[in-house]
Amino acid sequence: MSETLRGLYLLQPTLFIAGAAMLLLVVGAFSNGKRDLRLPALMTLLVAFLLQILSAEFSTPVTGFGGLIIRDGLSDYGAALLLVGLFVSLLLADPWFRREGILRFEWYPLVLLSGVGMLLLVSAHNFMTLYIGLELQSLALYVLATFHIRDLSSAESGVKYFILGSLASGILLFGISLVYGFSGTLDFSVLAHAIEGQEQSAVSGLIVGLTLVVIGLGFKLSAVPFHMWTPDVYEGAPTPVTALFAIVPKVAAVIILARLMLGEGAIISALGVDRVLWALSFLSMLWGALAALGQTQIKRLLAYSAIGNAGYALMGIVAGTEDGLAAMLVYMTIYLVTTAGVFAVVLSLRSDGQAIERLEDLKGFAQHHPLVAVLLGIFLFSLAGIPPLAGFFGKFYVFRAALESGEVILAITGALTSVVAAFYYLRLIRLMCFDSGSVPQERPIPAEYAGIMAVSGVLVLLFLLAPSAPVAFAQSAAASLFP
Amino acid sequence: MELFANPAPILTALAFWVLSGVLVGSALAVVLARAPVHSVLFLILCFFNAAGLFLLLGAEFLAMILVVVYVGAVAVLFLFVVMMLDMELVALREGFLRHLPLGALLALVLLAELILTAIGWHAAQDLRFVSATVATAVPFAEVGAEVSNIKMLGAVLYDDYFLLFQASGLVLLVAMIGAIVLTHRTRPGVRRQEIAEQVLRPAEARIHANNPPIGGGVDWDV
Repeated sequence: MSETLRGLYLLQPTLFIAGAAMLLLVVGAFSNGKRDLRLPALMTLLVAFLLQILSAEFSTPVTGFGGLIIRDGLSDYGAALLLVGLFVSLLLADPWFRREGILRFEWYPLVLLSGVGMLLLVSAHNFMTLYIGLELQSLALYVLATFHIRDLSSAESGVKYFILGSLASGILLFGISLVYGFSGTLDFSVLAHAIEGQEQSAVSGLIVGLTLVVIGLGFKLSAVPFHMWTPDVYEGAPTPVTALFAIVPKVAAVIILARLMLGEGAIISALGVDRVLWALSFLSMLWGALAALGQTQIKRLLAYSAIGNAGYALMGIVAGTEDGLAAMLVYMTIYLVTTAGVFAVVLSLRSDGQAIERLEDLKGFAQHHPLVAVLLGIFLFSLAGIPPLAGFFGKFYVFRAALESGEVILAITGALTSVVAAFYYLRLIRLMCFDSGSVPQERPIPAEYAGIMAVSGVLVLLFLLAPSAPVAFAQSAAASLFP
Repeated sequence: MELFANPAPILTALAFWVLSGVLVGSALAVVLARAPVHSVLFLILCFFNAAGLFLLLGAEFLAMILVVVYVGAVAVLFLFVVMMLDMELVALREGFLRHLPLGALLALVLLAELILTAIGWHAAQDLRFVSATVATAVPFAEVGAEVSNIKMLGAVLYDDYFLLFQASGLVLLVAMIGAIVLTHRTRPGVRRQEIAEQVLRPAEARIHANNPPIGGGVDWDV
């Protein structure tokens, strides 16, 4: 089979989504946006998920397009996670957008095209694929942040995201051009092989270049100190878009960092740039926990929670072992499930027809809506890492991997910041349960939200019963990087 | 010089001197012309001459791109902007002498950078340690005559980097959707031309045979 044909075969889920997105765009434009595209979009993601699973090749990595892309356990796991995340985001968005009356048909093609970018990113095996994937993803997300065009704060968040994101892309591209200038190749494994046995002086330019690449990716991951856009963008964007930001793009950024750090294309660790990742992880955990303490807005609080969680995920990568990678994948999976649950609750909060965005408005929530409050409590406890819930296991695996590879300081910081984080999640629960106030929430809660809350709740509660199944998946995915 | 190795050296040399002479002259004119519109027109002349120089070097793809992108898109855009803006010519000239030293300094820095790049190019080749991939890429000069560089670029772009070429297209598509999503507003009360409806309209709906009575009018309900 020729390289192009094999590449097309390997990328079939991604290409399917791209084709479907363009088709939806045409259908939407010709029907003047009157046709409901939700079901076709959801079906597209479902079919792509099945294609991805059925063509999954966990055992041996295969490259296509002359090494531009790679399919291995890591890319398959990442793609499956991304597709689930996109599916949930579409489900979450619909009732809210309809309620606010700002749903336009472009929402679906844009989400799908940003998904194409993310899928390219997780299967990138060349810096050019990395850049184009990242750009495709980001450009669609900039537009989505501004999706509510009549809302000033939405416009503000979009412009902020666009300008800072372009700056990050510029830094990333500058790093890539340095890497190319000093090495003559952009292929991950060729570069990794070339670095082996080189003297430190010969690779100094590469170190600078790669550090810039890591900074660019750190921005997309909202890792401290490149996180400054996150709270503002999360707060200003329409809440379903915030949910999308929180659930999906992080997975892609973390996985591409893992690919650069571990296994065959281990460029970051070969050059010693993993200390930069160490610092990003350390600072993210610390600042994510501390800065969240003073927040009064739900969305800002969740933004800092996302920043902190990026730190924990990075810890799994910094560990640099197969176990560390598997722990990171499990962590991201649990984080995705929990965040989806939290956002289902947040999106269903309404009083007097207005979406609730301040923490204070949650006072007395438990008296009025005991079941939803209990679920939110479960999700928050899980995010905080309280033992019997899924979040505890996620953090536990990451800490264990970090300790085993000798990253004691990082593990201790993680444990301490978890305690701080637990404090602000508990404060939220105290607000809901013990403070009096009224939340005249509208009933009934849309079926989508109820369903996602229920599924997330069950998964978070029952992870304890069968932790081996997801961990085994993650381990076989991680093992494909370490032949 | 490679230039003179071609079959008709005199003609090539003549073309080179004419093209570069006009290029330098028109470049000067861009800066010195009084009216901004003239500046832009001289800029276009500049681009055409530079494209001619690229042709002489055997880089016909660059020549075409220069004409298509710079003349076709960028310069025309400049022209639009210059024609639409109401500019005070005298105000533009003000401070020319004051800014001259800074401009000259910048020009010198740029010149120095160009010279450094030219000198450093060969040194940089030795710095790269992945010589294998560099060596597989055939240098322009060696292939030049047999395979046109458009063909080479096409092979690289549509075979090796097919995926990235298409993905770049998707990036542009997203940019276009984005621009429309952010700016498009449907206004009520806009009359549109429905061509299909016009064409499909039966003749009976258009032609009325009326027989108005003397002194009476016609009911006009179309």
